[in-house]
Amino acid sequence: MIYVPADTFVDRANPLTKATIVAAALLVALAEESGPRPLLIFIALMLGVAVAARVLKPLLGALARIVLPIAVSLYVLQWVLALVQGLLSRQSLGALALALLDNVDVLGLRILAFVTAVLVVLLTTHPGRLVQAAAVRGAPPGLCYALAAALQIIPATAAHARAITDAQRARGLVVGRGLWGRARALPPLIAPLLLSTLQSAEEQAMALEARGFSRRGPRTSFFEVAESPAEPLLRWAILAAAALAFAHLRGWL
Amino acid sequence: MALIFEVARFRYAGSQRPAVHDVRVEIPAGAITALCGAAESGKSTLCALAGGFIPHFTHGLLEGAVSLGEFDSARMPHAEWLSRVGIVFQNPFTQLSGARLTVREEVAFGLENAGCPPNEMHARVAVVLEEVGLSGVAERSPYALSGGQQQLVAIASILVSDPAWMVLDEPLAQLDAAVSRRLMEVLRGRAARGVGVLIAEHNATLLAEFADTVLLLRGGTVDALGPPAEIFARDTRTSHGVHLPDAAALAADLGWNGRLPLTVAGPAWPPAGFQRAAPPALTTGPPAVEVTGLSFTYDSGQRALDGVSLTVPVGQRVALVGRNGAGKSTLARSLIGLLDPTRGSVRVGGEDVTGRAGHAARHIGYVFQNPDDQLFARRVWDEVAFGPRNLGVHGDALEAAVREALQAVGLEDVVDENPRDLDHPMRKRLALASVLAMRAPVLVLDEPTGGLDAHEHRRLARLVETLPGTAILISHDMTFCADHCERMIVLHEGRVAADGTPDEVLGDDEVCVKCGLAQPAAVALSRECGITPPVARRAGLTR
Repeated sequence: MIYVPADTFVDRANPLTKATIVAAALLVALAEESGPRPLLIFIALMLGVAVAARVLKPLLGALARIVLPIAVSLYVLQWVLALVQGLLSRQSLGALALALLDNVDVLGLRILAFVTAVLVVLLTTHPGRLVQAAAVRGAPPGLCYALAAALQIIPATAAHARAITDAQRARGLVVGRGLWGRARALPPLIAPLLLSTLQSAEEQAMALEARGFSRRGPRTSFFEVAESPAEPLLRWAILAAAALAFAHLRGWL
Repeated sequence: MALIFEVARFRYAGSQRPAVHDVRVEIPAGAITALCGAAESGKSTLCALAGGFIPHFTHGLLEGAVSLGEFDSARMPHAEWLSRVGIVFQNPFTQLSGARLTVREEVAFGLENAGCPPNEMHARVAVVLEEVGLSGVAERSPYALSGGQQQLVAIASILVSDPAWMVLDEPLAQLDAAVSRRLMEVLRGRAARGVGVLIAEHNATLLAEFADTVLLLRGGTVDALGPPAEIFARDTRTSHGVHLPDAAALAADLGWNGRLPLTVAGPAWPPAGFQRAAPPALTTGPPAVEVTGLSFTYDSGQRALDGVSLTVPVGQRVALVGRNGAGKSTLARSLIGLLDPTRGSVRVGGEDVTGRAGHAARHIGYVFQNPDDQLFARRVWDEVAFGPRNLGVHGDALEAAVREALQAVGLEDVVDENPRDLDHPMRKRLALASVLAMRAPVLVLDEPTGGLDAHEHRRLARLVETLPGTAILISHDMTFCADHCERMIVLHEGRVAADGTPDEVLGDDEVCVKCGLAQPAAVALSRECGITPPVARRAGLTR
């Protein structure tokens, strides 16, 4: 989870609005004919949102870790394809390098736009809140529970694993160096975790039952999705603008 | 509406022996009924029957029924039964829904499922959080709370649904004295409004004060049923493995003749007959543990320790006490090098073990609260041998260390058993043996009495008395600490609030109120007898 808690309007915005922005980004990025300009405008907008949400630094760090390796790989791949197709014999090395870079530019910008939008949403939205917002909007409760529980239980299980590690370290367990050393230390760590996780699953099922999870009938939500009256309109406007841009880029308009 | 058990027998799938049998009893609503019994006496099985989990969830053979008026738990859909009977289980961690981000939302989870209108839900959650004292952590993640606080969340989650019946399986096991009392007051308030409360619990002192009826179990069946004054009038510790209320236990240990009393006040006691016994000399010697200016702040920003300094001489028995969240476990984990302190240092046996867990294991052993966090081997023997092996002990020396440790905890006859097949008290003893076998000169025991019946409690007391080295006990059981420790260190909000003999600490009303410590009955009896300052140890009073 890369969520960075901050009390900003972006943080407080309805997670569904933010998810809509990602959907819009995906739509624009998918348009084959989208040149660099709309993508650059979109990326600049997202960076502005990141500044307002006080997540620019973690955003740039995450982009460097995710997009840079992809861009480099794409460029290398372009070179391999060019060599296979014998393009080097028809163009000079410099001209080919620039041409390939141009190809990567557009593809890379599409990826960058999409990843930036996703990261801005993830950095400013607790994933649990996103699931809750979906549940409030009528998504299946079972599915929403499974997603939300997975998000909560992973860190809780990690904490439990740390407790088990502590208990074994207190009995002198030292995790050795190298593969063999680590493998030898695994049984005392894995066995209690697996066994207690299995037991916990049954107890948790009983606890959920005790709290009426399997009850039929209408459910309500304690969590209120913070939303200004204009926000639903904004979501529709974003989707409509993205659809129009997509149609325009495809030459349908 | 009364809860009626008409159970001829129930045995779990795969078991030949019935867990409960011949339980025919009607438990009235509008009252608190306590289920008391030794380990494996059938308490949890009766709770599961009351909650309808038997037969709806747990497999086994049930002959008989549990009903609420005309409703039979087996014939009614389980969800419908559970809308009438709320149940709280032993393990607080597994009772969290796992799908809510704050305590407030977690408590509301059941109401959401019931379709409660949001406005009403908000109001009910706020009232219940205030009632159980969780308002201050309402916006925190339930997973960021201590075990005791999580247990309160689980209880609040059921209270908020306002069921006609509440069934609670050992709800006080992880709570400090002040919080336990507050919770019992909440339950009494519910009972006064007509709610039926069935509570399986070892804390006989609070049960004697708050329960209307005690249902005494032995071997899976009801052995006696009556008001606390009736049930605890005789020594149930040896006959049933059931703890006595503190005052009754004190009376029994002081050689009381006749019906045991539930309080030390009243004409039944002969105050003039008691006087202060000579206090034991405090162990002195070179330092076994030296803590200097220790501070620790968790990543969340919570400051758990704030400049703690203390020295424990070799051979001393020390109780580390305080409220839930006072910093006891953080201090203990720092002692064994599991935490790297923000400031300060820890020396054990003259060696700096600050943040060096592997190194500290030779000098200090730690018995964790939950044995299931460490048991992994397929044989009891291998489990106990794990620690010494890690320290390089092999051959005859290893054999001797394992045999001695198993004998100390009374598990020498189960060396080939799978640890997971042992019951909880035996697993606790096994965890203790696995640390004893390492023969560290200093031993830390984290909540060693939690969830133990009177038989196991007594066994532990004997063991603590015979431990060869320095021992540090972390516990909420003040009577146990007073009787078996010569020194008491009280932590409050990460600092040492008091440090002295149990008589000095537990005789100080101000410290006890501030730090949520329950004064043993011996303190009250001392005051009745005019002994000043009062004594806290049972052995501190003599005729």
